Amino acid sequence: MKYASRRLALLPVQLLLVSLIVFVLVRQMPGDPTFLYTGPFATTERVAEVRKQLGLDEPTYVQYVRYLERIAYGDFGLSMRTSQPVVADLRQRLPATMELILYAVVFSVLIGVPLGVYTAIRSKGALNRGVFVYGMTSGALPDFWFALVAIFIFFYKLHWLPGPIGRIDLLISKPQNISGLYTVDALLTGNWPALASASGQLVLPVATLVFIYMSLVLKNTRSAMEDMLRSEFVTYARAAGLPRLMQWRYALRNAMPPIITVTGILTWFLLGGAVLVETVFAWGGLGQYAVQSVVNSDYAALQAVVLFSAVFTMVIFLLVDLAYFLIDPRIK
Amino acid sequence: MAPILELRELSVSYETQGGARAVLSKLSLDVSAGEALGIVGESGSGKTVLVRSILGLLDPPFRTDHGTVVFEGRDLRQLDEQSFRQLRGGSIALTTPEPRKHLNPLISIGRQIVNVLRAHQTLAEQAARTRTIELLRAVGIPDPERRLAAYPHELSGGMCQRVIIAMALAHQTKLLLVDEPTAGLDVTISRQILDLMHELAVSHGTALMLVSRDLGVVAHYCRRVAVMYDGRIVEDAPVEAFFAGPAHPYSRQLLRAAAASRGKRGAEKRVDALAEPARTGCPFRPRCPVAVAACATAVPALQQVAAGRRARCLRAEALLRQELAA
Amino acid sequence: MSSDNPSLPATPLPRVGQQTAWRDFLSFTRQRGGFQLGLAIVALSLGLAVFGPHIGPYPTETALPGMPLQPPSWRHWMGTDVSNMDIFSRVIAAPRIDLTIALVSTAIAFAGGVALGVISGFFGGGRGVPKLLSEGIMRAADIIQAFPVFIFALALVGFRGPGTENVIAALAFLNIPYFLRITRGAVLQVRERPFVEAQRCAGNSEWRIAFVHVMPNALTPPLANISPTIGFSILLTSGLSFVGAGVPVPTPEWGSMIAIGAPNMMTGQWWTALFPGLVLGIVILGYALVGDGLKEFLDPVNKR
Repeated sequence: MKYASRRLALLPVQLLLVSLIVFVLVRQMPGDPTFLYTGPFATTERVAEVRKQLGLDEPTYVQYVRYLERIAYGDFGLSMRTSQPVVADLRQRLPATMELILYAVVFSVLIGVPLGVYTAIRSKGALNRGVFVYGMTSGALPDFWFALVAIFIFFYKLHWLPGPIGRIDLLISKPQNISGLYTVDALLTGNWPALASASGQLVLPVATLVFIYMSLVLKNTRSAMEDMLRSEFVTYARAAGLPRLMQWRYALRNAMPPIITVTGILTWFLLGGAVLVETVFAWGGLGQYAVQSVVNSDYAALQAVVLFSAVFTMVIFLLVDLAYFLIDPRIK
Repeated sequence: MAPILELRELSVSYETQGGARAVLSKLSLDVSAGEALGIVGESGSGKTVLVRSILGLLDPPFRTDHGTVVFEGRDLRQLDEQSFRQLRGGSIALTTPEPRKHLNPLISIGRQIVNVLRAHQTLAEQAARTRTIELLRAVGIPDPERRLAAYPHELSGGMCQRVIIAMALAHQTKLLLVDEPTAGLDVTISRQILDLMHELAVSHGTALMLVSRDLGVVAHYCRRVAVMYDGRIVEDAPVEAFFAGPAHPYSRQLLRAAAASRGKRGAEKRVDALAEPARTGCPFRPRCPVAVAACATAVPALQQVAAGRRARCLRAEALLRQELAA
Repeated sequence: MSSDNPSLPATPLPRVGQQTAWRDFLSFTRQRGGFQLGLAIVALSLGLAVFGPHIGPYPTETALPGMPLQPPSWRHWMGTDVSNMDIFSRVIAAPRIDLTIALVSTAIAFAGGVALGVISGFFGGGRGVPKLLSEGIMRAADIIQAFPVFIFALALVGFRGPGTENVIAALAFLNIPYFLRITRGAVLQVRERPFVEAQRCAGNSEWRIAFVHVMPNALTPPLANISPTIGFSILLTSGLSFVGAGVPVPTPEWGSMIAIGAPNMMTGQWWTALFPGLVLGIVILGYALVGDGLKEFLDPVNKR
């Protein structure tokens, strides 16, 4: 309990530091940050008014405090591109990215962990060589390029899958909004056409992400399993007459902590990976939003995305630590 | 008494990039039913490999080149994995040094013992738990019902060793292989553990093969002692005769070193260990104070030098007659 | 496992000295096809970085007369893109910018990361000002690594503006924590060695010990990671260029070439984006193979 409460106590400090970094980042940009909050078409009086509110005439640390206040209220400014509050933009786009990451993580783990366990147990053979080659290539190939090649093969040439037009076919209306994840919502409301279309659209982007990023899970699972299989307690289990299946279960159980960690790291990676993949598939999620804001110098939006991604990362790692805490009785 | 374990010409080697290196060379040894045999030797003599070899636990790069391991009339080397598995933890069991490392840190000890029980007999969960409690009580762990849920890191080294013993003696064990029982434990604790093992072995009629670097332990708990050097048995004698007068120069060095360090903690003898075993002739020759020219020609055979005693030395009989001052 | 394995055959002590180290390296390389391949690719990429823009059959930044989007042929080995520029010439010219960015940013990250890693590792766990410094460095590294890498790179470039220098700065900044951690780990081990205490007795100041005596012995892990970091930097650069936040467009760069070719991929002109990406992947693979090989070569020797 002590450990968990210590981790939770650290969280606000980390968030504070993150906000500081983002604050520093934003001030790098050329031009007057007032426009982040007024939009580019405000009158001079309005600009002066907001400048006063933002405290831009005041010393830096005051500005930082004001900035923290604004964030606490969820005011991230207006997007120059969409003319909406950035918070609203984020809320619209978040589910798209989450759906992508969710499926990518699920499939990476469902395929990567068993494969990793298998190659650890059986360390020779064709499958092992294939996995080795896969590991080398997936680490070197760029994800955005892979996505394009996949689109070319499966959409253009083979016509098996729909094109990169976003999350759902243009002619089908999106399902009723419950969670924001189209597949889940469609399933919950029995909306079969939407489910079919959304699932079809998900195949290529998820497959791209899984292909490129699963090798992380695979390699780490395999090495964790290998370490455990060689450990003293597994050897002793064998000496005590436990069947092989039981020995493997012992090894796997003890390999869980590193596997959980690598799943957390995978999720962290995927947030970054989603950026490029979303751009290729016109996905309309946070990743594409980040790119659009960079290209359009939409600083308010960019700042919010960066802040969000850091918070997301910290939450993920907190969950990983908590999972460790539940699994390993030695941590108290 | 009929031997339950017979090792004949057992040769095990270890593959490295530079070639195969012999770890056990044509080792022959008998263990009789119910007897307590001590195996002594310095690190690198092959004692642990011997133990693992009996249980069939040697994986590549170890390779068994030659020889037989006959247990109760069956050649273990011909056994398939499935039959071997039933034997392990059943008729032949093992205890290890550093017991906590050999227990699964993420599973309660109760569950681990239950798993071992259920691996060897069809037992319902509740019956297995009851039996586990009995076993824990038999090895002297207080309050066993509560301890079922304990994890290895919550137990002291001595308690972990008791858990290992409980697992080892859970079935009608005929042969208990005890590897370095005193390593990693306090002197007083190891004394208790050894007493416990000895008591259980005697009451169950279990044969004991006690591998140790500690001569004192062997002297106290064993009837017979075998000395290993460079992968071979170099002497094999009843304990009283051995300690009264050894028949091999190496044994003599061991005894002398042990006497010198008696009273000091962890009586690990420091032997003149700088010389590597010789590749031709008697391997002990580089360190031997009484070697003669003939010792360089071939490895001496393990021969009977007195009643119930064998030694692998051309000068054994002279040593026994206390003629040599070295 | 030391109690389970009997003592292994004694390995001869490695011979010291430059010449034998070189010979060991050569024999190591001879046994490993993957490593050889990696070295060849790296050498080729460096060669192209220097000569690439000059040896291509066609100019790299001007459009050629004629129909655009020509498929691969004997005249245009990799075809032409939508502005009718020869893809092959551009592909072999791209290493110049990508490698420049990667090498410079990695060098900066290495220097900064190693220095900070030495400070953080050597003074960590002590007392007073140096310890605060060490803790502060670690917290800063933690926070930087709280952001997904690509998003942070985007942000750094986004706020400062695109362009080569900003990409270099962003990459250098991002890679410092990585070298920092690796060096810190090595320093934590080296500082326990007896010779450090001996230097202290000889009267050397802590800072001198840290940088003159400990650091050289802790350099192996970060050195082994230079090659994979270069590969990773190339990947990031092309990603940034792909979205338009990296190298400005007319300059041949693999990522921006893929971006230019992307719309054409979906209408069937597969060569426009395939070749740049393939070559990019091969180059990154080369650096990764070299990195793996160096790690394997340097590691066991260092374990003494």
